[in-house]
Amino acid sequence: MPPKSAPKRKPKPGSKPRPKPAPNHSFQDIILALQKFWAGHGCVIAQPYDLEKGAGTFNPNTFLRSLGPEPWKAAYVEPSRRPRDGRYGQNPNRTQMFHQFQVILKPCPNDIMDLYLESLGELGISAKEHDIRFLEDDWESPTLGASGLGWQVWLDGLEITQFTYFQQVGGVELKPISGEITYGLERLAMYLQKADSFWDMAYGSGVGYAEVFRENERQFSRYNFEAAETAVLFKDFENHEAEARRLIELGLVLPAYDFVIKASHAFNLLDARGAISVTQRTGYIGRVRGLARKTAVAYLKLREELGHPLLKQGGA
Amino acid sequence: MSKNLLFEIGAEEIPASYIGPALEQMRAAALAFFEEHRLTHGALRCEGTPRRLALMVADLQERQEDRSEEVIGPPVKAAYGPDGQPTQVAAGFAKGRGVEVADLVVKTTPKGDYVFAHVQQAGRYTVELLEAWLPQLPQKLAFPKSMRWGEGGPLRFARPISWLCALYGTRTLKFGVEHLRSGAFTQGHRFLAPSPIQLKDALEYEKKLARAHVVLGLKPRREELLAQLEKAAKKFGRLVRDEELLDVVANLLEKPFAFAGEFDPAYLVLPKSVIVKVLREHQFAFAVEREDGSLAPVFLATTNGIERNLAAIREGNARVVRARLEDAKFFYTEDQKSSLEQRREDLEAVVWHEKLGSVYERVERLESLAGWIAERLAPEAKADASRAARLCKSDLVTLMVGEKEFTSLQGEMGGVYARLGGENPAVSQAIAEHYRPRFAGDEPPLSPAGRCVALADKMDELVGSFGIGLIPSGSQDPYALRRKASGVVTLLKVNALGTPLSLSDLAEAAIHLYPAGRFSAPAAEHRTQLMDFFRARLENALSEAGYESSLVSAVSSSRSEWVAEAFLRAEALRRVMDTDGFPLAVQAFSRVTNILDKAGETRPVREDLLAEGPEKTLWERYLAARPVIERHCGQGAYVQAFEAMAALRNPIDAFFNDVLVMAEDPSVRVNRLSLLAQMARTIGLIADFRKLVKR
Repeated sequence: MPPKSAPKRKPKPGSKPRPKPAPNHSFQDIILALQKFWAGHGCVIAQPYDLEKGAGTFNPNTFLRSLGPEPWKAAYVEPSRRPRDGRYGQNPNRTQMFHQFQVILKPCPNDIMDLYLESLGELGISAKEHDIRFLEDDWESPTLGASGLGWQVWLDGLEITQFTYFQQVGGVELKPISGEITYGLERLAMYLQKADSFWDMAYGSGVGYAEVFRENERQFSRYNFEAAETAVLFKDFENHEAEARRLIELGLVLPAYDFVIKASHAFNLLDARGAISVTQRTGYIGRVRGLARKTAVAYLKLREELGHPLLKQGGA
Repeated sequence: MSKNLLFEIGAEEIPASYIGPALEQMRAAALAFFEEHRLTHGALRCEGTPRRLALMVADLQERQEDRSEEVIGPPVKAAYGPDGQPTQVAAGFAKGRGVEVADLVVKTTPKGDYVFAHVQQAGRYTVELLEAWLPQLPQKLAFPKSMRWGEGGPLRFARPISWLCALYGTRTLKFGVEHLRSGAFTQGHRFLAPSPIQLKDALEYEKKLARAHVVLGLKPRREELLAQLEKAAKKFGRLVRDEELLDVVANLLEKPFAFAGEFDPAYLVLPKSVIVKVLREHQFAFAVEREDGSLAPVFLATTNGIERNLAAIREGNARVVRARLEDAKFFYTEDQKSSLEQRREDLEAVVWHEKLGSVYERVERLESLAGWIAERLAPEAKADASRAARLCKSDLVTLMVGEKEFTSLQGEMGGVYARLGGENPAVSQAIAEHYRPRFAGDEPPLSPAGRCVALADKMDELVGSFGIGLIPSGSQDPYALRRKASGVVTLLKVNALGTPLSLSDLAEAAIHLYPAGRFSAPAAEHRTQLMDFFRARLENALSEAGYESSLVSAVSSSRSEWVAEAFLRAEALRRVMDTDGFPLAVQAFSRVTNILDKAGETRPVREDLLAEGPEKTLWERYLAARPVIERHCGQGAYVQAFEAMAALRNPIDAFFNDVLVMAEDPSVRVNRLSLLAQMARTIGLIADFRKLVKR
């Protein structure tokens, strides 16, 4: 008997060898393939959360669900906004908004790496024919009070995924541990389409990625760097922070968390506008982290009061 | 009888830098375990790859030898009653040791009479010992960062453990670590040999791994990598050797394969160091140079043994390299649009430290300080040093350095842009090298101007940090101040003989350039802490130069603010230490110096108060010797200075034998103490000999 933990995966009984997908993957093809794959592995296919945020980790499906003892499996696309990274649509691969495909598996299964590699296989990327490497990359989000250990995954020298074992979220030590897989969708598409630039990629159904997003980049870069009214944003930050605190007091932890996300985004915009000095920066990050902590603790309490329903179901 | 042991911890990809230290700990733990349990063994090897840490022991003894041991028990008084009958205490001891009370014996020890038991201990089987110990080994390994996984611990490791393979000879060792069970199965290359591999014997391990595309040993793996790189480079020139990168890459792979890819020669307008850095930092790739030392438009990348479909792999890597070089070229071109002089103004907006002001203020100080230093160390380089200091931080606001992409090129980029902007070569060079030495053993700047700027840069930071209480303690040294202070020591040392610049003068000059009120530390404390810190760095440098510890403290306890001299004094002491008269001279000098602690106030020596005989003789001999000693010291000739001092040994001994220092008459007493105090100061020019007294 091989050891139970052996990372080799046996094919599932009854699974048929699938034909390789067409070599030309549009952006949306990749999303569809990943959604299908992870749905097949028991994930809830969630939707992007309807607020501006810097990464898929902010989505409650990750931030909140990774807390506490209940199992959770979800996968979703998350448009991610990084105002500072805007380049007015001029840079081939740096934009103020890009897309992550986020998978969260709690507890992280022992074969999580094999699952990930299998998902690449679904995109026609065979590990025997490409150089796939797991390179040390520990992750930390100072605003969320979250950190984890893991890798960046390289495909023939290109970073296509962040792979993280969460250790802490909202300042709370996690148990069980969630595994987070974050595919960089634009990077993957660029590779699969052999494109040198986001702006040369196909989005799908005959429409180019540039048609969908380039004007977006131009306008938002101008907004982020030039037009955003800092006085309003400072006020927003204060208001969002106060609102988050107030709602936590009322036990409305889910709406409270929305305001944490909003405060974080207001801070990101102010940062891009150069309105926050280096010394103030630490202070603002600390304030958002403080809110994230309070929310995390309140959420743990909420799930406990609800009696941890997902535990009773005997696992998701 | 003995057999071979194999213990392998299979894991998800372990960070490259963790592997070596973990294997070292494994080795130490195993050696300690075998020693503690009296198990003899042959060669012990620890090898690892990103996916495994393995302990291999040849000819490990199968069973401990039986042992008979005498164990000390309670004192006789407690063990036997007045009637000579054994007490409860004796019975308890005997029972605990598994012997009969009647077999206890009494022996005399330095602490009195005690009861002893002869304990016969049967040797235990190695298998049994290993099955108890091996499961503890994973959690004994410490990593810079460790993690929990799955259900969440409590076990922590660098990355999740995937399997445990343990064999003793042909026998599988059976134990569990959390949800894992040990077994006789290992894993080959993740992709090229994905099926579990059963081992029948510990001996088969390395051979079977080799067949499964895993080169277990770091040394052969690194050699293989190097050979592959050299082969791939051949067509284009020669590999730019980078030992550190080789070490890293060898620990990123289980089976090295290297290939060459090309990039557009148009990128060769970038400085060589930028291209090498782009390849290295972003892609773990190597550069290729031509005969004349210029770069070929080629990168050497690696795969983890994957060779099929190489065209696609090469193309993928080439695309990333191109994007990185394109970024760098964009930065490089943009950066040249304004001069370092213009960029200086932008430094006003760059906070150096919240309490210490902007980088602009800093370069203003550096300009003055570097000039002040140059006046003393290299007057001919003063103009260049000041100019270089003025511009030395401007590259922080260039895209190349400021965008965080190539932070490690700070200084170097400044040098490049200075040259392109028409600064003279000495200024450009000084800017380029002013961060040096960057680490222990790094070369200090080659140019005199560069050394002056480097000294100014480090001293300004140290003085500032200590001024606001940022003082390293224990392992806390976030700003690497120890390294920077060591850099100051190195820089002052290379200035060698006759350097008219002491650490305290340098620090004083640096302190005065800060605006009043910037420092929170009280003035005296600020200086003392700084000088203590430098003394420790000097001691460290002396120890690293191979001087033994008593010599180091003898040197550093006197005049430690003169760095170059300290090294000369240390070398002189090392040379005279083994001479015949040395111990007696040390004794005599120490007597002089010791009395100083009781001296209190001293005055100029009054000859009319000196007694005829040994006291007067000592004074006269000392007066004659002093100018000679001082001259030798001034010339750095400390062996001669020591010898001139040592010639006073007999008069000193005679003085202490015949003369009562603490005389009744206060004026005589003060006079004697004053005489000794003067001598002690002269002795102190060489060292504090009290630290060399053999106990």
